[in-house]
Amino acid sequence: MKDTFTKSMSWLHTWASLLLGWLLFFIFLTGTLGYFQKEITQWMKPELPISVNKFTQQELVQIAMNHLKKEAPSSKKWLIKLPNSRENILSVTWSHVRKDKATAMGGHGGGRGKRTTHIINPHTKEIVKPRRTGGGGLLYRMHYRLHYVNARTVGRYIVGIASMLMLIGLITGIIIHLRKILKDFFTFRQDRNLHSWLDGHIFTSVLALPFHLMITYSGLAFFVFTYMPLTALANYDGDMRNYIQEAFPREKAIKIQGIKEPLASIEQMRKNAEAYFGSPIKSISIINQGDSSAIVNFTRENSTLFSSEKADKVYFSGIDGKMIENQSPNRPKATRARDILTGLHRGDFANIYARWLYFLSGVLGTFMIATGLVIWTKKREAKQKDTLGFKLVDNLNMVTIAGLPIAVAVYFWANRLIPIDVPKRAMQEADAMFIAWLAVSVFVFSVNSRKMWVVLFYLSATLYALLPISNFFLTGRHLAITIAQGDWTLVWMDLMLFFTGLAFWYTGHKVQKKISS
Amino acid sequence: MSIFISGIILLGLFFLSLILSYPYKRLFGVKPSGKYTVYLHLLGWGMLVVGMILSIKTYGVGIGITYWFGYITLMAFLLVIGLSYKTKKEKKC
Repeated sequence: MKDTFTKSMSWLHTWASLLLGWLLFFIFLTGTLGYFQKEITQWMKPELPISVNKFTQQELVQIAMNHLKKEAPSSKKWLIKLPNSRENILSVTWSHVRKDKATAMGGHGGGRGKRTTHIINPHTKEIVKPRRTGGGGLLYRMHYRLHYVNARTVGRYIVGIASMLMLIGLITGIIIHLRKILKDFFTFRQDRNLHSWLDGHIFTSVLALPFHLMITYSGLAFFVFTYMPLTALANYDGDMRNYIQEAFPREKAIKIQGIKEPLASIEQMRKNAEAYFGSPIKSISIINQGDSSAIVNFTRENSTLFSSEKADKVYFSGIDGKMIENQSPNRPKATRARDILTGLHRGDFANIYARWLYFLSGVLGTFMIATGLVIWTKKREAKQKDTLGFKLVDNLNMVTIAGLPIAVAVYFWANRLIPIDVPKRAMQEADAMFIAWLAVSVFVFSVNSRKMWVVLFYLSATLYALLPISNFFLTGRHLAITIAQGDWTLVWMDLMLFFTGLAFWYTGHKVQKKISS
Repeated sequence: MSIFISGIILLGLFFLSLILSYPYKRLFGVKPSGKYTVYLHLLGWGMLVVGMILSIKTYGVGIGITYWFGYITLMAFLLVIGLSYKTKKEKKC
């Protein structure tokens, strides 16, 4: 330990953050992309029909209902997912329930029979089969359970330890910097080596400090049962299932009565639900259709974070179409508190403006980690340049900060280039990403020179900038079409990829100037 | 409304930044005299508080406060970028 409190904190800040800094960079980058996971997935499935948003909800529900009546007349569990501001997809799902069992309203089948999902093209009313891909969801899932780590808890533990270290880094950082927080708030001195790196580190940390604290703390709240299981085990007879059952009560199951009754008008219910929410509908689930026990429930598009889950769902009797009592179970208060933390982490409530704010904050966090890692080497450059430890950190910085974006770009390219009918296609896309990252590592460690920064940044720039252009040749979903059809999700994705390319080119250019001078 | 709230927060942060010597020097070329520090504090913090009240009135308590932090992040980001841009331009002159 060091002689003064601040110095001890500074020591802790340096080493706690360095230890898993590279992993934290990975978590922050993939997690930040996760805020646009649905948009990324849509971009990665160019077979999906375009301009679905030109249809009204009424028309779409009609198309979906006709499809369900034709394809699954005997199923007792129908689900319709409507296109919304983030996803331009109309899909229907059904599952078959054993006759003697009751139909559970929520959940995902859970062994109650096979589930089938069809994505429908509303223009032609035909089924669409997009290419198999992990999409943005895979990137998002990587940020909390990593990849190639099969046992779920192992991935969660590793990420949990990294988050704890992040929290230590944040708190020690605040303590070191406490007196100067406001003074340096608006300071960003350029072109002065260590100074500008420090300013960059401080400004990305302080500006989004509420976000950094919230995201790290709430991130730990997700898997609190994995990290601290003993409290629950001690109070629930050593069986975690009892605890989960009480903490997360399931929706009721509805028993089939066996009396045939036609379903009331869905359109009328939809109108009432829309009026009730004051916002469009996201999904409709129809339980026990054709039976006297039929129930229909609607979910709203923008969920509300700080009111109970009940406010996001409304139920109707499937026979007379009248609104009935809310069937959602009451979640215990402790669960609600966790819901708020996790909802805040995922940005469940966020409209498009807030989503961009989340994204920006995430980018700032990623920069904070990157600048912090670089500062470690900058401070030791003069004295320890030739030591093994220094070289290891320096090279790992290159591999992570400049290499990971390349790996992500390769993931997108793999999505375009791997043939559509290859088995385990989604897995291969992810494999391509990690093979690329491994190749970058081998390259960096064998060349062992700072010039690799420039090479890697320019490579990133090329890969990203060419992606939107590749759409002209590979998918036919290029900017000329997407702009003309008004499919803004795809337009924005292409533009963002292109600007990311430009940003990497600019960074490479700057670094090149600095190295050569 | 969100643009209005953003504007108020940006102005508030701008007034607060004038208290500090670094941004002030960038903008006016001299060190701040310290004469108006109290007023700048009042104006700056006052506008941030007004921004928070408006945000809460528009979005409700929970989401309002969340958005308020988000607005500050975005606006401070723009301000810092703006101030450092000014620096570069001056250097070239």
